[in-house]
Amino acid sequence: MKLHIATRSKIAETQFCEANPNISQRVVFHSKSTSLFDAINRIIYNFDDDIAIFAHDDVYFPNTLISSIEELLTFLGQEWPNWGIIGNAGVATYGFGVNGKQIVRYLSDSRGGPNAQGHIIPCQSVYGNVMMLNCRALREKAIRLPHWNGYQLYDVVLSLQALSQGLAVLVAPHLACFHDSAGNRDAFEQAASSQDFAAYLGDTVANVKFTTWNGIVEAPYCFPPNGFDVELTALRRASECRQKSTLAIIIRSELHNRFLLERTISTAMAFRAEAHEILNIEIATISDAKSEGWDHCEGLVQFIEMPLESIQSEAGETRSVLVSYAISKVDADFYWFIDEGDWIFPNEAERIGLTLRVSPDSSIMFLDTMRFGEAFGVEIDSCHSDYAIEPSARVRARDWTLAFGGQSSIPLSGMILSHKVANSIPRAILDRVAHMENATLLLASLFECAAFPIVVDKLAVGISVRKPLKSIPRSHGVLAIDRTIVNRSAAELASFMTSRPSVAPLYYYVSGAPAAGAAPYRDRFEATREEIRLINLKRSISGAVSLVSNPRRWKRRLRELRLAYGRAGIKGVRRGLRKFGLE
Amino acid sequence: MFRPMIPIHCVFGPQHVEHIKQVLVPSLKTSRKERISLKLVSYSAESVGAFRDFTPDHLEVTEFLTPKVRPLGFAAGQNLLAANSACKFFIIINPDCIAFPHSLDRLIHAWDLSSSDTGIIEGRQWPFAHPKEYDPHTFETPWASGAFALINAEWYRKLGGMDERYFLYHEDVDLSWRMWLNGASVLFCPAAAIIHFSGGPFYRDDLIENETYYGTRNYILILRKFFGYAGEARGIADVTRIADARLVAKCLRDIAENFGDFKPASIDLQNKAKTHSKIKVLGYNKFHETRQ
Repeated sequence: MKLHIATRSKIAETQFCEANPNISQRVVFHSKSTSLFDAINRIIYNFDDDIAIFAHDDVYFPNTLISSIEELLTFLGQEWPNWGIIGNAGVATYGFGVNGKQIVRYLSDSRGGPNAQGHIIPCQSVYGNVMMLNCRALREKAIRLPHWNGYQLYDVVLSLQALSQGLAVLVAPHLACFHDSAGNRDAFEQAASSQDFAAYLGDTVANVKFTTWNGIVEAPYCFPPNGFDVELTALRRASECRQKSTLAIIIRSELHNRFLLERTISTAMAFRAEAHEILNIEIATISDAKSEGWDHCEGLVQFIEMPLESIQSEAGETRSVLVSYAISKVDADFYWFIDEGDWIFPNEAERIGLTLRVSPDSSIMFLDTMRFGEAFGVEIDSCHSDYAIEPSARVRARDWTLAFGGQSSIPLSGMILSHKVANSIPRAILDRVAHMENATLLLASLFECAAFPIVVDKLAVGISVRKPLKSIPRSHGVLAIDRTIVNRSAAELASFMTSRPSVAPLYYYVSGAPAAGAAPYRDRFEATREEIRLINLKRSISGAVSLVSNPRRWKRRLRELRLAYGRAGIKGVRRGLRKFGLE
Repeated sequence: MFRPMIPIHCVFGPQHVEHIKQVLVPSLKTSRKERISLKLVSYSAESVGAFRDFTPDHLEVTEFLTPKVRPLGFAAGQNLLAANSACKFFIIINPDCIAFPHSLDRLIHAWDLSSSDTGIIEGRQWPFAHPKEYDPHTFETPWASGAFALINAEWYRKLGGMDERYFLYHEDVDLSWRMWLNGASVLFCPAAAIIHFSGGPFYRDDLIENETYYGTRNYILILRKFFGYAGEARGIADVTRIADARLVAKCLRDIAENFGDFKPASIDLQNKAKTHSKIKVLGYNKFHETRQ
């Protein structure tokens, strides 16, 4: 396996070898190439290797790179056999982490550090600073980049080509590095607005815009579309050859109202019909009430009756205990709890199913939910003329971190727990917390097994907020007038959160410090060009002032500027000054 | 009252097959006491024949395998199904719906109570209902959505069925207006409800949805048809104000290239439309007052 390095000059070649002595004997330099598109084509077709690494000349690799890659290749063969390209940064197929964004960084650069750990994540496109190419698969699929000049968009086009030909695009931590570059937004935007690229996109993608590492790219407006949906196709490719997971949809019921339970069950069945090719889905109802007389429902789904002797709830309520009992009784790869009366929207079943299939085994998925105020007439029957329904607040999946403030942010139905996460949650805490079991599960999943939070900001669940009727007990539940049980639950939760150190410390999340790489990232992708120019100018000026006002650092800094000029000319000098401004 | 099997008409695509088999058909069984006849036609060549061997209990399922030319528009599919139906009325339902218990019975009960000049009775959609106005005493409404409605077969044939030129969207508004203009009425039956998960909350801003494109193009066309070229001009002004400029440009090109034969209705009908109390255009794709 060779490392193919695109270099700008002989000095850059020398600097690369000095910076990466452990791998210098494997390196092939592609010097002064005016087209990285042609360079990639040469790597794929002019060399016999099945695997190749491509990198920029300003990348610094760790000493363990080769052994990491060997470990990665072994893992890929088992878990992701249809991989085409792997990078160390890119636009993921799902949001994750504290801010729920889809940008994944397994690198450090002037914009910040890594923002994820340990997981291979499917992507829509990768950032081309480092790419591992499955040359054999790319050759077999006859993937070839167009003969365009320049150093922009080759990574985007290669990613799209791979997806269009049935290969997965991934990022992996095994390719982590430091990249001594902030990219060139002007050059990117100029390339992205070219006619050739627009024509290519018009024939390739169905989207009118999509996110890349360097910003949002607009595609021509074609209807009917000629190409594929980038996001869903990337998910589909990544999920091929993966094991078909089992999702258990478990409906908590008090067996008070057949209509509401059947309504929930029918929407779960609709979800199953949409996702049946992606997931094995089991639907079960769990209750601590007797199930006699509920034959019709039993005929549809598995019925789990929790015997009274199983209830050891100190809180005197069974909402949380039902959850832990269901996890102990149902063996599935993922668990999704829905309450009777609420419903599942099947519209995003494919996306949710595919995301589950490619997610790490210690994941917790957050979904958008929406409250609906329902006013029933005499009977609980959506069909009655007196019935009214009105959409209300939407609870966003990306707001999951509000749980750290002790708030019940994401409802239980807005979370899908992996098997590992569900079984790591101590039964004891669910016995003590009668309400706020949603926040408890969320926090416990982080504290007990450092669950990987996946954010799918699509509407998946409707939550029924019903005007009280005689047939719906109001002596308990979060709408109960007597808040004793709710307040005691909050006390138990606070005690659980603070009683002992954990894998993912609480202070890390609530201190207000952004996750690594998150804050600078927001500037980069959401700021306008003018804002970025001003930020860079400010940093350059403060860097120049810092240079002049610190004579003791002149020698080191002038040497750095000289090296930077050798690598990238005036641009390198400007970049160096900005770095001084950040120190 | 003895009644032959009630025909339910459904135009479906490949993505609907499992839902129809596993969810819609079981729900239809609980929505109607007697046997019903589900008649299907695929709008896509890919799913033709998907129901060839599907024989559920208590429900007759027939799939029409013609015509050979696809994709079929919604109106073309419904017209094909209606042409093969001999009943006094039929019910149309979208393939992604789920019927609530007794919903078909309630829709048919509303038909039994209605007069002979009832053209369409629309059922309620849940949870995202059209916030359309309807008279709480007569249940009259300006137009009926084609997602779930009972249609008077005789009136349907008299009016020549749905207008196939729209392809998707606005055929229901068009049919409703023609019903009103020819003396039939359009009613709303809130007691008959179906689950229908569609619409705005799920649309993506990075893709061009069918409803976005056809909804814009056909808005201009329906105004041309019922209000002449002055109506068309108003439609263009409305969409230009609100919709994406590229979308508008694409729609106008499509209209110029493919709808030269789509002429306005007769002057007499246009004049009726301008003064009819139920024919309303209150803005871009707004054909009703909003129900409070």
